[in-house]
Amino acid sequence: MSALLEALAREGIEGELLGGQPLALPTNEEQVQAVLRRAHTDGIRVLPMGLGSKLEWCRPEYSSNADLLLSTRRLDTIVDYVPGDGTLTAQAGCTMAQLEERVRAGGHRLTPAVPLPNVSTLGGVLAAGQSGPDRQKRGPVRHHVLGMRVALSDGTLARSGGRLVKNVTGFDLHRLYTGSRGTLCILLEASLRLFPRADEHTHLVREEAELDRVLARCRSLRSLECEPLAWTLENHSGSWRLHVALEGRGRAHEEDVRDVERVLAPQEVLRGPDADAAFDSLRDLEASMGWGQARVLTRPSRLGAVLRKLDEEGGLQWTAQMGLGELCLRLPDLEESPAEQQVERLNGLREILTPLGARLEPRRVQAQAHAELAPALEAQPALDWMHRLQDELDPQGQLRSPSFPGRRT
Amino acid sequence: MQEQIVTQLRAIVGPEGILTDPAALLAYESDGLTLKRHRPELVLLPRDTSETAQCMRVLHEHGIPLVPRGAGTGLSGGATPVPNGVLVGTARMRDVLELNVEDRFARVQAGVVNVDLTRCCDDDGLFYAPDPSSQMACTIGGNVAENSGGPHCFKYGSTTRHILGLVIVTATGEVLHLDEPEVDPEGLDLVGLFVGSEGMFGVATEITVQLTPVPPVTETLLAIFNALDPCCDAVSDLIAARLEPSAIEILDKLTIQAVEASVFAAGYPQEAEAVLLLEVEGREAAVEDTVERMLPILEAHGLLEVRRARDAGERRKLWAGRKGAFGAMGRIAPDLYVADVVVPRTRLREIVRYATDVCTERNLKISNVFHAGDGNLHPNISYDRRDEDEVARVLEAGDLIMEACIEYGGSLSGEHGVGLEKQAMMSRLFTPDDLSVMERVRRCLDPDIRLNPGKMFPVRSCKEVRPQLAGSSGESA
Repeated sequence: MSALLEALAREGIEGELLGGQPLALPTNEEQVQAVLRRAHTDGIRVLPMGLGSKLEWCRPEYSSNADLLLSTRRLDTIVDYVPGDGTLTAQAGCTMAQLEERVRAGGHRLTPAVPLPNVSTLGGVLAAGQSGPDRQKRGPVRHHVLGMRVALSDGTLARSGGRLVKNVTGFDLHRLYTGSRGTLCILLEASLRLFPRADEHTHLVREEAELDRVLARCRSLRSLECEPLAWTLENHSGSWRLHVALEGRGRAHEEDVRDVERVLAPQEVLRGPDADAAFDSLRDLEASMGWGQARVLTRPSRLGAVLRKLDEEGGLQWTAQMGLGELCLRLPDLEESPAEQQVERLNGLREILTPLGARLEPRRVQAQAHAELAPALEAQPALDWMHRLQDELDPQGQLRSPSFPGRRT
Repeated sequence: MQEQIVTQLRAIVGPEGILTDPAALLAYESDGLTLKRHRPELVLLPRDTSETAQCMRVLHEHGIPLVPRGAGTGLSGGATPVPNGVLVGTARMRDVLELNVEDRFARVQAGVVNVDLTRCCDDDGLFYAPDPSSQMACTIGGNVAENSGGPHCFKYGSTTRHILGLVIVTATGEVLHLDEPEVDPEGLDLVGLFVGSEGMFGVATEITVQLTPVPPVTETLLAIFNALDPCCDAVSDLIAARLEPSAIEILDKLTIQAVEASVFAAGYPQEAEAVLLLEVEGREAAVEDTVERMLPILEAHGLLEVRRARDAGERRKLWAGRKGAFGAMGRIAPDLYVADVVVPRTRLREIVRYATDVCTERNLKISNVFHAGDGNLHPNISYDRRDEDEVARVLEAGDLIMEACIEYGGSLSGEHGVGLEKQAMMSRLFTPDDLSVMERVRRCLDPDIRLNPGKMFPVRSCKEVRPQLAGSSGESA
């Protein structure tokens, strides 16, 4: 047991070693405050986490750069679920599966539908700014956060927003915290807007041998009146599988299904529990891709050109959200390779993708590669603002990451 | 203001881009919150990002505070000028810079009028969803500053959900290009932070907005009730039943009568105590299904009659009445206090009843027209500003309504912002630490507090340092 954990234990805060690093496991907000105050006084670098399902792409330096891991997994109370208002407030350590189960009973659906909901906490998902395939219909996770309670690095507790579906009182700091990867504060509690759970679900799949044929189907899909819940293309053992998930009610849902069938000519049409299971598999695709990943972001209209270019490159696996211009890329050859090789390969891809108007972000690569691939500051006013915000909210740099949002030069 | 500074600014924006004549400045003394007024030193009307940045550098160099302004339709005093300060208006930034139908976005200058944005893309089957009642006049830049709403935000969300990117000129005249419409921001979400910051982080000069496909079918219903309470309860039950119309608005009897007596007359039944204006959009079958499910809920709450708009003309008329309601109130009294508060949607009836009682007890005329589906209330109090006693009673009633909303788990503003109107109430809603973190964020982006100073944050002893004014040594409050 480390001296730090022993000191925390004397204050009643439990902990354990994780991969040789001390991990504090506070059970309430006061204990989080106590850990942070000690860290602040002693100059201890803290890495916030939930259950750790996204550390390797969000904060890959965890194995080398933090003196203390601080998990909010034991802050796991659902504070308030108001079915009549369609809102949910929960502590950061609640898992997404726990929250989904709770709101399902009230006829709601939790957004985002993130991979591996049993091991993803609300705090982790929001810190990562992680959306799921349902963002096609519902929008990104940051649109659904109504308010937050957070702890700053010196232990100050603060709130922004509230539990209301409409509210413009004060700055939307919860929007800033969402996706900040734990570099501004520790998330303690958040309120989310919920969506009605649909009565019926249908999942349609079309497999094609040629990329151009599947892209043509995507163009036709985009012109339809229906609004898919998800619309994902994956390359799969030399062919392309296009998934369309639909939800709705009665005759309107059947019309949507017929429209998509006409354009897609699907080989598989799954209904009810089978459709739910297929959607869950789609949701988990990214998590099942393993190491050596990158994320590519572009406009939807440019995605076809990006995919053709990646197809020419060969040896890549990917899933693309076709209506959004978002692509999760896996480079199997990089899984075990050293950091320099990862940097070289991903920089090479960047050179190919940048002229097409696409941006590449590393994910699940080694910490050193992650840091080297982060954009450099070089008087970019936007990055300067981001660093100023980090410096203001975390003046001692206890929560800082060498790779997010970018390097200082 | 020193003539040398005026000359410098005139050289940047040209003679048409600067107003110094007292008569011309009169129009800029207030925004829609006419209770608060101050004449600006001058008004700058730059044409684009470059001119704005040059002006901001001059103002920074001389330590001059400034207030950004769109069309001045805001209702919270966000665009009220500050002492020794300059207004930076976007009235000459009216260009649509790019319309991308395929990727469904537009890039516009900040001074583009809300409704003009939809006009520029409706031939392509797209529209801009946030629709404040002032959309015929208000600008996209102003909407960004206040995170404006509107009736259809029930379905589509407030402005922040539709902003994909911004070009921001900072307090020092630097330009931040955050205008690429990507799915997720690179690094921290500065765009999300900026929207609703009430002109305190910079001046947005270009805005990338998401456009939404026009729904194939729109059904507009007018549900008529003989009492306001059951009308409110019907809304709570519609929400609890998880139905998804695109707008749910309530107008009470006094509002109906004012509208019907005005140029906005929409054919609302004047004998009704309240009406619900409902809109349902989507595919035909989905619209029919939602309407079928709504009707029994409305009937259970004493629905007298439901009227359906028969065509686009009737629909426009029904909405013109709703959106013209604030203007129509001018028939009741010369001035109008438009409150803007939010409560959980399960507590609509309670707060509407409370607001009515508070005003009745103070012999004030209250009318209600509000975004019931979002729990966003506008208890409107008609008054005459020349009557000091009445003004005092109006302000007292406004404070009591806000306090009650906070007690009910609500908030101070759903779409108008805090500005000057509600700044004193902020410390009732937020703790000193909550406010301190917001102030720290503000200070780190505008260290001299020159952008819209004296707004939003309550003045607390030794907490808010007033801006260093030109030619003065600064002061603390």
